[in-house]
Amino acid sequence: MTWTAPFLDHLAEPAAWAYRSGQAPATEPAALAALALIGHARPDVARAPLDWLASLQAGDGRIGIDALQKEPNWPTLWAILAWTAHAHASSVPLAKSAYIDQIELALRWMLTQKGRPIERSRELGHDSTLVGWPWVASTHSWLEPTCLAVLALRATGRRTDARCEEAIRLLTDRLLPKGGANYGNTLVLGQELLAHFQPTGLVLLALAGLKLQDERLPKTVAWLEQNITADLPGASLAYALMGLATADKTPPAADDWLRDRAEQSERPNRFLPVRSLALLAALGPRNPLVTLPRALEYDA
Amino acid sequence: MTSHNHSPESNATPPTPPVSRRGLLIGAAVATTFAVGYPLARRALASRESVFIASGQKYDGDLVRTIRDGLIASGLDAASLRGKKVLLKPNMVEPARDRPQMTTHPAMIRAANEVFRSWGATVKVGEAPGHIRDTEFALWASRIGDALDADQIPFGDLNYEEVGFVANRGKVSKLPGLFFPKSVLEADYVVSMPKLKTHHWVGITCAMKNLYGTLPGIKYGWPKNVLHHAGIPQTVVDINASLPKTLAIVDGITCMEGDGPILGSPKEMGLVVCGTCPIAVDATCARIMGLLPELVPYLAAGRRLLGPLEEWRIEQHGDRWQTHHNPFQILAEPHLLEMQARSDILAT
Repeated sequence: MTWTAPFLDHLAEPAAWAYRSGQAPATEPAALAALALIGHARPDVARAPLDWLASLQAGDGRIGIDALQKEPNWPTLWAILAWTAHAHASSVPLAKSAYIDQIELALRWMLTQKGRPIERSRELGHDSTLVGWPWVASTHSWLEPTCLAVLALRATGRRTDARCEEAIRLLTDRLLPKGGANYGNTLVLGQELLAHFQPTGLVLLALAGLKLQDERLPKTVAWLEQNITADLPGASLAYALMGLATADKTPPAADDWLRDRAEQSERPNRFLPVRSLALLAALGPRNPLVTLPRALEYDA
Repeated sequence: MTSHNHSPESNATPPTPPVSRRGLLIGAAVATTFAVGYPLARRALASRESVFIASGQKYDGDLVRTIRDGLIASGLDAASLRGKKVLLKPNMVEPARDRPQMTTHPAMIRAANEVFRSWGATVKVGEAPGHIRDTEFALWASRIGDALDADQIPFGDLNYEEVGFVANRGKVSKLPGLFFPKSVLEADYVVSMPKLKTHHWVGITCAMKNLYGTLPGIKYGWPKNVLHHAGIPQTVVDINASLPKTLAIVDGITCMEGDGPILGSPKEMGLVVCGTCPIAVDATCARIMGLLPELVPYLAAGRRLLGPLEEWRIEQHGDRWQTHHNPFQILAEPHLLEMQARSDILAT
């Protein structure tokens, strides 16, 4: 894994926290950059994106999508993960971490947010009454923000909180019967929908280590194993590999694929967060998104 | 969405409290009557619009000529395109390599690019896939990325661009305005390039609904649930009313029937449909598919604001739709079955 250093070197720069070259920095890419730096043992360098995220935090704890767009606030969940990862990497108790004030404020805000439940109907396969987290306030709970919230709650020692328990039930419920996940629907009008790599990888991260007894979980790992290909685009590839890492199923060629996608991200107009995602995926089971949720649970 | 606020391009989104279809149509009509922008409404009520249908089309055929002829026949002044910025908006809602009937064929995009460039316009392709966060995956799976690379067509990732707020010109939903990405705000023309498909909630997805994909997921989520909760037919109309000038070029060559817009089966039609008025294009496509436009919720909601649905107010160029009337299979769901109509009713 010798390819990572030049990409890590760039991640401290605000230009690397944009979705595309030439755009303004955005909060989700900044949090991903911080996580990648922390994972690769550069917590001090990670202070730059972490401090920037802190500077954007509103008084009630939430963070917008960039410095200008104060809403929606789903990136707050990414910020919690990045700040918490810094504490773990610094080997200080969470309560004494550099960002504990920001973490607590953000968690407080996060717990005020609830996806909008919907009366169950024959048309939808999922249990629409379960409450997780929405992308945008006052809308339904969807898979990815709920995954991030579960990771944040687990990472901060709240695994047994009622909200976390319900969110875990929601995530399990949103797994497709044949394995895998999409943005958060399962069956519609009786038809099973298509799985996608990013949500599938993310849901495996969120549920990793929980020892849930559900046949869809091994099917979900199997779906990734069967469908991952060497030419998958970077973000999908990275999330797929992160998911596989939770089951110790990393393909032998994974590092070559990730290096290639990181290098491709240097072409014009590419999706810049691919670099951070590739760097995280390259860590395999040492990825903070894999280790973070379990750390406090095992301590407790 | 009729009685439910489901995701337009997919599959589902949680419904808000049920509203009857008839009630929704009436409500939309009342809303538009009292709230339409006057210039838009004047166009909608007074004008006739033109739609061009070309048959016998193939992806390896002369699509450049078809699209050029079709847009000119529809009344587009090619000279007015010189120096203008054109954004081509294909459908890449949830691409899969083994389901090419789901997404706009790359050959259509390459041809449209060539047409607009030949008229002196600057062309860009943009899309905000509604179900996929990884837009590069959508480009890869749809093979549209290969086409853009081959022809060096710039791409705008509408899910993640910087955004600007535009007042809601439709005012059919309660949304005060809409956030559009930079590529949309900078465009002089937004060209909707949908795949002609059935839709398991609203019957058809075509030029108007494809423009849901001009709104950024970063502001509206994946799926764009904010819009669903505000009412899908209503927000489809509001988006269409609030965009820059819109044109439509429909990929009706290999279409989708059955459980569209994601899981349906391919249906070969060999058609390309063009027009300068997307609602007239969609009404014509609905008739071809065997659906009554007046019962497609978003068409009904937009008729007083965006243009005509009535056949007598849509001037046909190229082939007549009746020649290609070929009902698409739809799911046996009551809300879809009631949109179906016999061809003699369609022509009234």
